[in-house]
Amino acid sequence: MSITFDKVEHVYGKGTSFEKMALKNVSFHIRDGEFIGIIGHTGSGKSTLIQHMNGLLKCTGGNIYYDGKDISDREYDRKTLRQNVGIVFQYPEHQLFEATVGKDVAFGPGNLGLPDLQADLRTYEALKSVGIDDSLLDVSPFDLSGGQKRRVAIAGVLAMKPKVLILDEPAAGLDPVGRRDILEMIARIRREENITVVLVSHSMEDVAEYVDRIMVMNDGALAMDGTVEEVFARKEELEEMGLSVPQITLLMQDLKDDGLIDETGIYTMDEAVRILSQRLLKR
Amino acid sequence: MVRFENVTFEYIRRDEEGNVDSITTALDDLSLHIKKGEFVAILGSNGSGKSTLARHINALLKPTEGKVLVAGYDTSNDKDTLEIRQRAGMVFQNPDNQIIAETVEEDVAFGPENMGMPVDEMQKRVDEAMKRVGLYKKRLESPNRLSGGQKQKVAIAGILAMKPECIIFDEPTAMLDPAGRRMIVETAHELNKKDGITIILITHNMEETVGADRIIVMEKGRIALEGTPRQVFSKGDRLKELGMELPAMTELAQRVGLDGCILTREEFVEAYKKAIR
Amino acid sequence: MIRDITIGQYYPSESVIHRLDARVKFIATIAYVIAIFLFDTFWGFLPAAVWLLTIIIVSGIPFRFILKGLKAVLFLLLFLVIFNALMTPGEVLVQWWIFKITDKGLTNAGFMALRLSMLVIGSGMMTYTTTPSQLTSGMESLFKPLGIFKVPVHEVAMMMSIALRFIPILLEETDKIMKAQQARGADFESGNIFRRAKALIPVLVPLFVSAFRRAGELAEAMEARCYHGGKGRTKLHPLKFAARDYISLALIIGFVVGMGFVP
Repeated sequence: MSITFDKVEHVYGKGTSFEKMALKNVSFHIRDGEFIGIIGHTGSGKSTLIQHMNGLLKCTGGNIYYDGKDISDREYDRKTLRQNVGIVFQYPEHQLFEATVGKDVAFGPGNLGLPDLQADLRTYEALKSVGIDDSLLDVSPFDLSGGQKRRVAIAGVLAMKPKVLILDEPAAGLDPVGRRDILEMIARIRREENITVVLVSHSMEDVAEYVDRIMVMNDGALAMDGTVEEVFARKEELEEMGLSVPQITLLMQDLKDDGLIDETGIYTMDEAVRILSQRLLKR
Repeated sequence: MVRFENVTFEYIRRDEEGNVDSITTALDDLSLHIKKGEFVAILGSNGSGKSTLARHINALLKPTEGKVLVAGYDTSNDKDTLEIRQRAGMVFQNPDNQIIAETVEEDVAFGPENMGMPVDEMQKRVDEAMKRVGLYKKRLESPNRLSGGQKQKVAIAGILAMKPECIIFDEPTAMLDPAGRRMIVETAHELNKKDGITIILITHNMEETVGADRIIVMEKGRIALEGTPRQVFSKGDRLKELGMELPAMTELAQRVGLDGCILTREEFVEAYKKAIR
Repeated sequence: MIRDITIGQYYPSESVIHRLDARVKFIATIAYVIAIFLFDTFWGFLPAAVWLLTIIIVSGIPFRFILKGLKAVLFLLLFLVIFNALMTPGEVLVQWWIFKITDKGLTNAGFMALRLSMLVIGSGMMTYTTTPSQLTSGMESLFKPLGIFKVPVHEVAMMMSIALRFIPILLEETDKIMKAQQARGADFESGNIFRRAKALIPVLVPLFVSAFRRAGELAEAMEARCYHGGKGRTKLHPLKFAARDYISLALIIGFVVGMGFVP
């Protein structure tokens, strides 16, 4: 599904003393199958933005199109939109509520009105793709470990079979191994299901490693939108917004400033290793 | 300042009839000594016992076996609990769930109020503590309107107003954005250097531990690895076994084969220059 | 929507009313409430109305803000007016089918509307001009004598102030959980009342779990900061009577005595 935002604006509490412009003139186009990263400090408008992507919030100005169709049209099927665009919110394990893991994951398919058999099938598939063993189907989700709970919660969204998957800080609060596992899992699901993924993250390293394109939110506006190289080349501007670039990028910049290397725009560990070991081997 | 002597702690889960359902050993015969003025970082995967360890230092938990001494007080003596808690304050993970009062000022005063401090002294200390973390201008505001990092600073000020000797940070940055993280870690270092407060920082973020005097890595309720950051991070394979990573600079240096354990960007550039010459 | 309701909110300002001791304001509110329930004649309401108007003007709170507080009880107000107007027996003024409006019904409805509006506005004035923490410490201090009957006055006051702090946080959380379940296809907007009630289970369960988790963490944080109940506790802003409080108290007593002479 392609997503188009055209001059989207959102004002909270219009006409009250709390009035706040949360989105200002946001325009972009996301093609089918892209892997997008959204960065921005707390309160920059990231979560307001993703809530517009599946119609949980309605824009107060501008238009949003999915596959060319305006979602604010009266005839537009908003229920299907929510099914097609899945959102995994921050700390999704806090939304688990059913008595068993299986029932919780089946909540979404059930709401779609699918026959039981099909809903069960989707539940199995979703749990399998997040790496939760069948033996946990009848266990209470509240008895699982933190990392497992999060996987079950993500499975609950995957069971809707979304064409676009949006994740808000899916690795927050996990230990290094848990972090890596979750991110690897998301990258794998994207490859296997061939879906569009939007990853909201505070970690520049994660974004650099996984996504193709970065959108930077600042003060409700889309401040930057480009490839990873393009965005991380604008280090000063990012720092002004309270963001940063990956450590590796900073180091490679230092080395270049000292005339030790010629390359610019290196932002992942693997690339840096490749370039530096070549040089060191030459000696 | 803090001494653990062969401490074992067991979580006992009981079923509805009160029979023992399961026993989890969260700390297993652990001994540890933290000196006054030290900055100690504690790493370990989820469930390795880090938080249980932290809660022993301010007597929220008491050892099943062994002894915990804080500033000379034994945490098992109930009559010394308040003495211990004044000296060893604790900053928790979720900024929202540790703020009690409606304004910044009143929240900072919560600890001193509990201590029964006289009003004049209290106002002075509360003002000082708020100035120390740079929140004096926001003293009459509601904590709900602050950013995550600022809320954590309120929590820190609340401890400073009790004039602590030691502050334990239990994953204080897990819910913050990068700017908030930096703010809290910098504050912790500053309190350590300028005020000589002993700092114990529990975290999942390797970069935050680079400036510590000592790193302790926990596994299954025991200390698995311990030493200066350089000593710990030179054992990359062991760390990976423990579910940890290396700081980015250390990992890169090791992968391209630079000598010595490199922790910072400056060190990397120096070592690279040397190697290439 | 929720933000539209002003009742119970604090309106920051520096007026004399704001600076009055919470205990004085509490006593004044009680006296005022008794006054409006005791009388049902025009002359009986007049002193209370003048009293209320004076306080509003002195407090400097805009009328618009105060009227918004009435919005919350608008339905109740309308219901009471219609009910009273139609159900009171008396001399029939207008009749249509089975509905009769009587002269007595009209006066009853009028007084009822006046009484309820004045009650809401009057008690609202207390919360607009007093911070929640002053409010709770005022109540704690006023009810302290109940301590001898083993009423846990300090604990109740502490619970109230914590509840007040967590209301906005829990409202935000409710919104978040509802959105998360909506993203999984939950529908809170259609169906009959039973369906809608059932649809709330996926919201209420996580909300309770989260409230308990927060409560646990908060209790731990309070304990870590030396909290051990009200014993030996001091206060950053202890309640202290100033000259203005004694004067106000005298005025209240004057008002109460004065009411005795109302015909």
